[in-house]
Amino acid sequence: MAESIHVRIDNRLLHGQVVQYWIPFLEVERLIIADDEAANNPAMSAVYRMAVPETVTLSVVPVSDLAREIRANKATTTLILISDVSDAARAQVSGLSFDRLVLGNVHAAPGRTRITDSVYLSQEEIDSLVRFRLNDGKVEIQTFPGERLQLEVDNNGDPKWSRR
Amino acid sequence: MIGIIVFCHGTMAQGMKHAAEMIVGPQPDFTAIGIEPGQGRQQVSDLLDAAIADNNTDNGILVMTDLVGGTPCNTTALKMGKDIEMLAGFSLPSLIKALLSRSEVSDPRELADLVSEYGRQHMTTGTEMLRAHGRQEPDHG
Repeated sequence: MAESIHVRIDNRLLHGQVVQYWIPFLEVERLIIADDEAANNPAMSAVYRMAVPETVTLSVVPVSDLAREIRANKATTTLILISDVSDAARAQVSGLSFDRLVLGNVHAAPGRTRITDSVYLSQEEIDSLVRFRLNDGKVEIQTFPGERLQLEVDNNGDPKWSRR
Repeated sequence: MIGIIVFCHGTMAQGMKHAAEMIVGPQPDFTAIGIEPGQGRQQVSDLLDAAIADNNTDNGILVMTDLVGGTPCNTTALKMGKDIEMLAGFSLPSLIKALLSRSEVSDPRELADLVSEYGRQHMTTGTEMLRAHGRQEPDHG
């Protein structure tokens, strides 16, 4: 069976939506939390270990170690959780290649505008996602399995979120 | 008295507080907070810190959260210590039990143990209730 890797941007990392909905829905075997704060904070890692179902293998690594961690162990279905768009770009720089990037939760903050109730993006983040769309693969907002907004880039290079 | 914070997704905490106070009347040192879409983990952490700071009790706080592994549960787990205990997966019966027992126990850990056991015992089905009272199951034929 082919290996499938899902990359999800979610500032809450491992939380109710992921535990209750995404892990069973995707039949996740391996979960990797790629986050510098979580990797450097033993208490945070311990909380995530407590929250993850027993059937799932969990690792919590700094973003720069993500590509190495993926290569070190194989699994049929892997879910990678990354805090924000800039960390996803850093993961690419570290050598991880992926052709689909899902935005789950990107919280509201000064300088960010609302895309959906759960996703807010700055211009810099939108530019980064447009580059990913043009060079690497699909960008989708999918907070819940039933939702799917795809990023399209028109001939002028302008982004548009379309429901299909 | 031990302080109680209910901490849930959406408006569940406010709803649970309202429901519990319908049964036991208005309660002191009892706070409801909820998380909404669009909030990051730092904002959620700040929300809980403010609720903890607002609580005036000297005997510690029990934070009752809705879902094991959810953001309220995970956020609270990071703040656990001698004076703060967390319970995940609470129900209305367990919340009422906590409100009525919190003057009788000495620390939040003891209250959490009592309340979680009570919550486990107080979920049932209609059929179980009928059986417990020696009645026949309803005939669906």
